[in-house]
Amino acid sequence: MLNFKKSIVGVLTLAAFTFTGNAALAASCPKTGGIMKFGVKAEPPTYDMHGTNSYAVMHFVAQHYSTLLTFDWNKFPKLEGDVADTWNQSADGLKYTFKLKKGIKFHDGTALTSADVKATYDRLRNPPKGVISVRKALFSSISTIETPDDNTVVFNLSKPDAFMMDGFASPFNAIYSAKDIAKDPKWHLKNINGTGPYKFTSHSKGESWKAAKYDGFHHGDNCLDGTEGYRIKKLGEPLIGGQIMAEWRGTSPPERVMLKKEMGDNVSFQAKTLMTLWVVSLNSKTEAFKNKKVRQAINMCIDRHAGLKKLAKITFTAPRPSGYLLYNSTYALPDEELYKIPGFTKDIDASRKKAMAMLKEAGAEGLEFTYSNRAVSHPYDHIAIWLMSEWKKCGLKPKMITNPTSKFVKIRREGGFDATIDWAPSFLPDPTLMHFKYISADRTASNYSKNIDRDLDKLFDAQAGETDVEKRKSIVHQFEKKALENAWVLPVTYTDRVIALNSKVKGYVIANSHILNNTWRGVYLD
Amino acid sequence: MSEVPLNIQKRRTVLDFIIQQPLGFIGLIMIIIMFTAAIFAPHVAPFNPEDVDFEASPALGGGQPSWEHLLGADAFGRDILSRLIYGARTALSIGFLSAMLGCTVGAIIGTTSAFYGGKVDLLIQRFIDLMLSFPIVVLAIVVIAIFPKTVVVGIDINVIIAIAIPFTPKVARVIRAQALTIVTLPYIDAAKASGYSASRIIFRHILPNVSAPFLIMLTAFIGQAILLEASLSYLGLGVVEPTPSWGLMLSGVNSDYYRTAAWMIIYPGLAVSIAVFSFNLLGDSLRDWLDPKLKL
Amino acid sequence: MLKYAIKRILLMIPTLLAVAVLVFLVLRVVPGDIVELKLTAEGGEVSLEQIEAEKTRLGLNDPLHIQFIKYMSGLPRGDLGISLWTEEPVSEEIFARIGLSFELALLSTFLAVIIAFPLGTLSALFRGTFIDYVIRIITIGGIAVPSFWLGMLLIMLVLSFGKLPPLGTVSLFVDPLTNFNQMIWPAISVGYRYTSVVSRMLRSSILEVLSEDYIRTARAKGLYEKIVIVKHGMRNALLPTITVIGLEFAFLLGGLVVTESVFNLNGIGKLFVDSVVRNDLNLLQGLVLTVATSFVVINLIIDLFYAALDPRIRYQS
Repeated sequence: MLNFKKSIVGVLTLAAFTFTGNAALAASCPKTGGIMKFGVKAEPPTYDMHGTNSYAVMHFVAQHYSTLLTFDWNKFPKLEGDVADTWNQSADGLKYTFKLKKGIKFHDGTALTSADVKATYDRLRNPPKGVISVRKALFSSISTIETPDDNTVVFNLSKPDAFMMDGFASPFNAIYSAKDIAKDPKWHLKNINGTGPYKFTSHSKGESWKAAKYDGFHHGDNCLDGTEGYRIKKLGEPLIGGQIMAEWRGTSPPERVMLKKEMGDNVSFQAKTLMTLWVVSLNSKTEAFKNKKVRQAINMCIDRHAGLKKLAKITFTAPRPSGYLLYNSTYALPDEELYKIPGFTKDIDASRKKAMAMLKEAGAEGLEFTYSNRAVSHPYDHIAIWLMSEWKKCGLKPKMITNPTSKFVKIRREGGFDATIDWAPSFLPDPTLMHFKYISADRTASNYSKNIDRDLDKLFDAQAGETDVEKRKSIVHQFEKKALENAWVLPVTYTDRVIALNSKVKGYVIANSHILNNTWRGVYLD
Repeated sequence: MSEVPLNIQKRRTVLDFIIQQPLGFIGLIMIIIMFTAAIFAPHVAPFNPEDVDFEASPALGGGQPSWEHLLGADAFGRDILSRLIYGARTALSIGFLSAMLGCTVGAIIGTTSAFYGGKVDLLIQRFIDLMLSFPIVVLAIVVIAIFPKTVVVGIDINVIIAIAIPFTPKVARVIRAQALTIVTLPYIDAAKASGYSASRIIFRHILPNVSAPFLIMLTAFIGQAILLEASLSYLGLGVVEPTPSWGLMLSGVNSDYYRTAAWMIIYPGLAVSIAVFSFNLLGDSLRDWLDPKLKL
Repeated sequence: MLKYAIKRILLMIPTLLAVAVLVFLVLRVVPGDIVELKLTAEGGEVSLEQIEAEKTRLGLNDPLHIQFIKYMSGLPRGDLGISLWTEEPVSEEIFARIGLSFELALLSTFLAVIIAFPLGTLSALFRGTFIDYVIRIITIGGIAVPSFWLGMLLIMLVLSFGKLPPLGTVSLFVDPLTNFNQMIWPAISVGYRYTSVVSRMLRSSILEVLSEDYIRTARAKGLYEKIVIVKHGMRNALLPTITVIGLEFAFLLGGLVVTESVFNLNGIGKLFVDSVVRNDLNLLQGLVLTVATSFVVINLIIDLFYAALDPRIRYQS
């Protein structure tokens, strides 16, 4: 499926078929003991990792499970083994063989075997009735799974798929016990039995999630006596007041200032760009937006240089412009090319002047349009209020309509907006993953502009099938330029993820996504 | 329920009210000041409440109360005083309209119920009992959950309805009790005998005679409505950004700052308190003055 | 008395049934979309077919009358359906949280009563004096200050002196001190309003007692005489006050919505806001029904209490 992923696979193959992913085995705990209390701002809708994209599930449940592979967080996106000891890929890319570590036991005492891995991936790619797998499509190229012996799993693919290896490391693809699945396919919606570092102890609805150290953990780097996750509304007071020691989603700049002021050396921060892109989708059903000049003009009124720098000080957005792909990533459009595209140029006064002329020419001077906003403070209200003021500077008359999330998603789906805020989360800076949102609406469910552009589709397919990095780059750049100039979906900015930890919490490495690295391996209290 | 002072025979002047109810008078003055500020907001407010000025944001080191921003600035560098003044528009318009709507509908239901008596009365009473078994906030939030957001000339119609509905049965109950004593009076019989229509009797003969409790309840409920609007907006279910609203100013965006820029939290809270306080003072005093035995 | 009590209890049933029907119908006027929220709010590529399949599985695509029959037939068994968010029984979701709200309501009632009684009585005895004005200003303030703002100020205050109590409700029976520490601040923030309401009611009831004709003949001029009168008339003054205490208590169960959000307490108030934000209709209707039921029950208790004190009521109705 993906070339970027192929490149990872390439690295792996280079590293030879005897690659050992067991680097973490040496990991020891500088200190052990203690309970780590952390906060989560949302409530998990299910316990089933396979059926959700929710970070709340991830933050509570991931610690109970293992995956086939995982990432080396210091060298992301480098892969390493979790329950897999060694692995290799056939030359034609149609066969993956994993050797599992021996002696891994589930929390209930039963041994983990290849049958469990097979059952897990069968459940993921072909969920039984009544079970949702939101990653079904991801594994559609797997044709059969074989288990020659208790410690070997073989995946046979119907076509080469470069995304496969990352899929095996996706934190959501937790390995379940075959016997639990056999008992009841829905068993995992409300029960937990994994091989992860911490054992599930209790869940008090809407309030807390407690876990205890699993002594039999195969990596042995579970340093805490246990963890306690609490449902919080805001991060500030609980962290200052000593109610929690960490929150993994992120904090806003003003909150950071407050935490620093209140806690001094007792708080530490870790920062990394989060691969969530905030975009504004323009509705293709809106009459005025059918004129490309109008869309471009709307884009050109946004000051992406000085403005984003300021916005980044009040909410957790990145302080610099970007196209659809994460800036500075392999396939992203280089800055000098990006800054030539309308809406991304540095001279904002000239840009706005031109935009107003374009609006006048199109008969859309002082255009009124609705902007659908999600009733969440960070970063939605912040982005919205900023955009409103930017657009007003061009004489546009945007009308902001804010709704709670459930109504917001309904409006977004039904197209009841002229412009809407939208977001593209990802955990890898890969063009196929990230550009999928911007191709024709009949091919993707997440293009809320609902526009059709066959040329873009062609470019998208071309890059997905291109194995040469340089060639793929040039196709991806064409895609970026074309889509950005079309201006159906306007990228606003990426996200700066900064987490705040009580200084006692050590050994955690922040990842590029809040859904990554949530098993608290290696985390200890000083 | 108490007797109704049917014909207010002794002339009651504003002067009497001032002398007898100094607290109520203070409330009245404060309300007049607020209304004036709200109506002339564009002339009174030093800034446009939606003008973003990042340099004045506390996140960028600005925003302290100063000569430029008397009460400081919020996260976006918007002037707090201006947002409070425009917020008075939101609060008073929603407060007044929802209380008026609730009281009017309630009064009509109450008098109709009393006028017809019998089965109609019983049915209406049962329904009122039913509605009264939901706490105000709960009922308001349920209404918010059902109605789509509707904004007409900058006023949230769904919020107004959500606040008015819980008031209606309360008003209906009180007014019905008052009206019951009126419908038995000879002149109503006379009106009936003259062949006047029911609606004419209700609107021309009964309703004017329940104006005292109506006025008292209206005043009290405007205060309650302002408080309710603030609570709903605080929860993110009422007025939303960028409309200036006192409750909203206490939630979301601004709550990150309350240890570093306390002015963002203190002033909007004070504004709500003072506004509701004024209406309560006035309502309380009006009751003492007009109908001391009325229980709400 | 027994006959009256039975009659009142039986009368409760049609009221509750009507509440149940009303709640069901009202919430289905404009159904939101919890499934889409659940599957796509965090992003991700979920097809319309998947969303529809999930809706069917949750019974949201059933015709309205089928949903209604399911819902009504579950009620007598205490089955309120499943939460569309967690897929746990609604009754369990509510039961897990109602204790906290109940305790908070009790604690603030206790605070309100012990403070309101002296305030209300003093205010009435010294009507029109400086004391009366001060108390009236304090109590009118109680109705004016938003409880959530008071809560925010209290949190600020607590933070400047030390640490916040630990998260996660600690049972009163396990660790009373921590429990008290968790409950007292929210209790104060709702208790202020509660105190004011009760104290104002007490004041006007006592004033009414003082102005009754038979008492006026006692020529109540001095304070001492007034106290004597109040002692005699207290029973009459207490009745409406007790009603207010009871009603406010019933309202508190649902009215803690805002306070629980401020203090991050896991009670039914917070659950209520969550269920509105998520559009979890089943949970929402269960909650509204619970709150309304508790109101009706408390109302019944007050009425019975009244009837026990004042036999005339039994015969009137």
